[in-house]
Amino acid sequence: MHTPSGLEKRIDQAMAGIDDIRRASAPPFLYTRVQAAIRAHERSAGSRLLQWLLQPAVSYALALLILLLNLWVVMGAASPEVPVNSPYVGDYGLNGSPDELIYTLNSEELP
Amino acid sequence: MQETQLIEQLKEGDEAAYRTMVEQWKDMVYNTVLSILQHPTEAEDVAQDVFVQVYESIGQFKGDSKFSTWLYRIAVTKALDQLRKKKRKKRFAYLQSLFGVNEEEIRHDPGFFHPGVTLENKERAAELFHAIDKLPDNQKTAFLLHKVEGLSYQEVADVMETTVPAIESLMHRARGNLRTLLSRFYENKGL
Repeated sequence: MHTPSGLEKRIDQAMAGIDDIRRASAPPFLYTRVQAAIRAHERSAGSRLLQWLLQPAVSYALALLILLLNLWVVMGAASPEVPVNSPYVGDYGLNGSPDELIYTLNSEELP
Repeated sequence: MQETQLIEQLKEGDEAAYRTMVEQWKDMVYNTVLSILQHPTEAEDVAQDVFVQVYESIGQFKGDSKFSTWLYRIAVTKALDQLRKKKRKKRFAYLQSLFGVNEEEIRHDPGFFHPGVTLENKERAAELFHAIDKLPDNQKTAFLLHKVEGLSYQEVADVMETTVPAIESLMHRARGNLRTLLSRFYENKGL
């Protein structure tokens, strides 16, 4: 039967060193620290968003987007089209096309 | 409180449920992280980070594993990340010292004494933890989850998202490597 040498015996003892180990207890007030960390994290999330928005590339891109939206709205307003089925088309003699818009007055209706 | 009920309440942002969860699992998380980091102050910081992570990602927990399995995964990941960060810092400080940039002495750890070890085993356990610190991450994780947290091979496999035979292999290699490391350690000390 092989008798372990001094070194092997020492190694066996070290390997058994954590055989009866018990769980370490967490420090007290860990929950309080966790709560504080969550609040700090939520506060910094808001300031991180603001910092991201203030980056030149982001703010220029947003400004350009707003400009394009405005242009689109303005160009849409500059060329209105009266719908063909509008009740005003018949009453006012409108034919619905901006190029051929004709306003006629029914002279019989004038006071 | 039933686990499913607790998880539903956590997803709804119920603070009382969150507190219950922290109180229920804090020792498990701290012990897992402490055994990997071997540093009580760092373990406390990382345990805190684990619970913050749980708060932020509980919505992503689908329930396809046990809550404890998911929690172990977060704890192990965060602890290993912190360990890698610490080792990078140490290497950088050592390089700096070679060039005389950082004149601070590189502090050597006096040894880690796990608070859950019996008095008569303190020295031997410290020597073993010193060797465990040198294992590759996957062997270290498997060994510590099994020996320190008392998880079965199946539970360890669930945490590490692998199979039981893979865990058996990791444990076998870990034990072999630990014996080699301890042998070198004792020979260097002239024991």
